[in-house]
Amino acid sequence: MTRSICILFFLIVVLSSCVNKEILDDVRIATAVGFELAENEELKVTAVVPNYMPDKTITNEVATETARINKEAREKLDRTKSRPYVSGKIEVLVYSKEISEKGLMPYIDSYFRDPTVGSKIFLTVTDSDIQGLLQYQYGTRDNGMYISDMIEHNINVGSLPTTNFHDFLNSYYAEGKDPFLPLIRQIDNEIKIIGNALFKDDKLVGEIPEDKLFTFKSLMDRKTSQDSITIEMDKEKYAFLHKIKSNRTFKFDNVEKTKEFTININIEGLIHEYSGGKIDKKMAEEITKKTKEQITSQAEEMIKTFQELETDPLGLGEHVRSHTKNWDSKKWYETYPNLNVTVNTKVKLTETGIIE
Amino acid sequence: MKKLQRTVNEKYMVSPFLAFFLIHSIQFGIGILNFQGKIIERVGNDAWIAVIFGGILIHIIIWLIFKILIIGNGDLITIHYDVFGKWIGGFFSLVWILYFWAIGIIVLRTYVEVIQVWMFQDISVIFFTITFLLLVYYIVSGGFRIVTGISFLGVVIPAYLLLTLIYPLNQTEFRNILPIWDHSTTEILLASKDMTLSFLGFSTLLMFYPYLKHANKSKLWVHGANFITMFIYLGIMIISLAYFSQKHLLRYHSPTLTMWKSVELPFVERFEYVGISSWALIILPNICLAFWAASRGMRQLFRFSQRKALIGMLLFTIFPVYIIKEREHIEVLNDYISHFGFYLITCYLPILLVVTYFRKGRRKKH
Repeated sequence: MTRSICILFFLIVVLSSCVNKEILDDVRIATAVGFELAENEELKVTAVVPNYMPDKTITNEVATETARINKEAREKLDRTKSRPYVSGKIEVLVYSKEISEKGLMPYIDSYFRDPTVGSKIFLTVTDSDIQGLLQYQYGTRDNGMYISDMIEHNINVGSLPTTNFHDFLNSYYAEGKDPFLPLIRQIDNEIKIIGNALFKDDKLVGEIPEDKLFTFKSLMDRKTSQDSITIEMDKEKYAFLHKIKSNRTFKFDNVEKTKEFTININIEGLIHEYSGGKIDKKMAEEITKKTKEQITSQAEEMIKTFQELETDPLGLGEHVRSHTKNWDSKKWYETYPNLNVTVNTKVKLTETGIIE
Repeated sequence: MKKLQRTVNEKYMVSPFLAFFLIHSIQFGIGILNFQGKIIERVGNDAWIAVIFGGILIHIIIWLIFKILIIGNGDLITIHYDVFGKWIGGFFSLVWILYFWAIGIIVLRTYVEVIQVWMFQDISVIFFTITFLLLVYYIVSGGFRIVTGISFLGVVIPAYLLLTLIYPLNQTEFRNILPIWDHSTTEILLASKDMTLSFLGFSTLLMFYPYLKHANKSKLWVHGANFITMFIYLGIMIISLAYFSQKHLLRYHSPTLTMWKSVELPFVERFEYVGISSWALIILPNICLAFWAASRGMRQLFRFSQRKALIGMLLFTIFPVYIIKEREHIEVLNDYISHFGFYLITCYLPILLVVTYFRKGRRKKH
């Protein structure tokens, strides 16, 4: 009796571990996947895998396959490779503009469904040829890590608002908010963030150009810091303002009747560079005034574009919803394009560097 | 044949404060993984109010259970025997035993399903179940004190998992919770009813009450356990509401596990694997206590050895765990059992209190 129990126990312990193993050296760990449309309207999937060489360098291995849906392409790729692909370490998903215009959700589904894919990966849109974009070796690492690091540091200390997979899905499913994604482009041998792509639901509808990223970030996030803007003063003089911190608040009262909505932005910054020479008190005031004007006009213009495109990346709708009982999303979308949005900007210059 | 056991030898008893761990560990199990969906579907951003109401309702029922136990002076089976007689009482006892047993089965099956979805698609359900049940046998056959010990460990060791809630906090938008009370009171009350389902299991108190030393002192600990459970549920509900937009949350089977996707540690890429494995320790006392209550009930009802009852029950558990294959069936079964439990505690227990009072409570006063 005891012996048979021992044997049974042994068998159970041994056999229970009979699940599919994924040993790090025996799999291809994809770090970036790109999606574009092939000529025959099929999906062209490009996967990036880091290849750890014996001399400790990392090369960027790229493979491309066309198929009807994403996982079919992966299955086809697996058939050409010595080791199978796994998606647990994906850092970046790159989508072509064409696909973004068709609607992203069908192409996101397989990652949404997958328990092994993290919620902090980045989604990006590009207008370059994706195979080319992912093929070139930009840094000393694979392109998945490279692009991911690039986006991450631009969120932390640059001009990108917080964005990741979770944020995209959250905004997509929120009733009063629309998603946006960073827009990247391959320019010669460089890869560059050239703005933001605006979505209505999951369809790309517009873009925010490079020079407005500062204003967009100040509008998007409740609190931001560490990004910078070049202020155009008169007579070909420029000032470079570095943001220490800013906060943004929304104000409105009975918005569906009055159609008035106010956004307040408070910016605290310091001057990193001024091409006009000495900054005295009067000059500082001048810079403050110009900054205010530039940001306010950019912001108001930007919001007008949002209204024309009927997209709401700032989440004004969500904010109104959180302050309105029995909020009706349909009614809001009728109000939104005719909303009169005023932007009030306050700028405070705290330092001008170590010189006067 | 053994005798109906009315008092428990003092050496088998446990201190009253351990009731805290027993109650908390059985309330806190599989439910926490996906309790948000149902509530949010009904009352959206007001879901957290339903959590509080649900918790309060459970406090009232715990009060009621203590009343029954103090007047009846025994466990559920002896009370049934005393107030309803051998046959009717026996029938009610059997219903409760089956209920406790069903809790054990469904918790185990749901946990295996979580492993199947999140970790190993190709895990062998039958081998995992048998291994787990061997462990359960080992613990429950050790007696109530061992079960209590496991409950203690099952609360203390995985408590570190609460720290992981800090990670989703980075991406929360607390305005999602506003405006407060945006739904009608009836809707909120209905949602509160759904919420109470996540607190179930504490009715095993009806079985282990005679094992508590100075049982009167345990009242505070039992209520405390329920309060802490409610507090954790409330915290997770508020964080989930702030972390997900509502429609987004409703897309997931288990929002709590999905929140772990935001955990980033330098040495662990996917925290879910660590978390779900730790979860085994949370559900172990859950299953053990359910099986203990069921087998103890069998021993009291049919008067044969608890060990034999336990072995029989464990063997019969393998079968349902094995044949339930689809997620939908698991969900439906979960639903049935928790609704059954809900009506047992909200409809049957008040009746039992009234009957016990008239049959036993009044007699005492003469």
